[in-house]
Amino acid sequence: MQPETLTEIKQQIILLDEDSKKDLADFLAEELESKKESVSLPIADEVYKSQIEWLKENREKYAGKYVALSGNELVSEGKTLREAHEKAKEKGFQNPFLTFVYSENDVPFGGW
Amino acid sequence: MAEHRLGFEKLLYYDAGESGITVKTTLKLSGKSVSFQAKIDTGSSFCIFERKYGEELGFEIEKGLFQRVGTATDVFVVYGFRIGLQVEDFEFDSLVYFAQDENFTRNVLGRHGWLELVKIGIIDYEGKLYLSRYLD
Repeated sequence: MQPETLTEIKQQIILLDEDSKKDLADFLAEELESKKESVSLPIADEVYKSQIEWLKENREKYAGKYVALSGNELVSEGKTLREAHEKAKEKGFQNPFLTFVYSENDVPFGGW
Repeated sequence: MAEHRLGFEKLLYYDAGESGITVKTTLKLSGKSVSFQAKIDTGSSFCIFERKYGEELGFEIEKGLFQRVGTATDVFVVYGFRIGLQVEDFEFDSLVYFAQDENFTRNVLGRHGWLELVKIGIIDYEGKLYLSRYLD
């Protein structure tokens, strides 16, 4: 949208009464929420799946370590969560997916 | 004697009369969610939930990340999935596991995927659970 058009819309909104402004605010909130559901969630879902596939393919190589993934790309590894995270942040990844990697042959303790 | 202090964002009260420390847990995926009660288990290597909750979210359980898990008396099979894990007000992108056996009826929040991502304090005598997201 052209910046001039948006400015015109905003100027018209200023002239609306309070009830109309509230209606418009509700409409915009619903619009944004529906976009969020239809666009972002399937992408996240695909990323999640690709990370599980990455773990299946690479678990034996990184077993016993923490890894940081961005999408399905390895960003860093470390002996501790902190070490893997620090290395990822040094490379510019503030919020990678961090997880400990078990070998398929490991039998970690399940508690109780 | 040295005094140590920790600060937390949330104070939650749990029923100290129940078995285990139980908190409301929600799993989220693609607009779907499922909520249930899970127990905090510092002895569990990761988070393990009932199969039915994974299926409610649309997972084909056997397509997840295979893992055998041991207890004091048994070994069982779980499958891992990436998911949104919410405990009270705190949400994380975690790797959690669902039991293969549909008769498995425990839900535990363990170390990898949850405990390592929070700061936690417990006064069990008073049923108090202090909780914060760990922010580095």
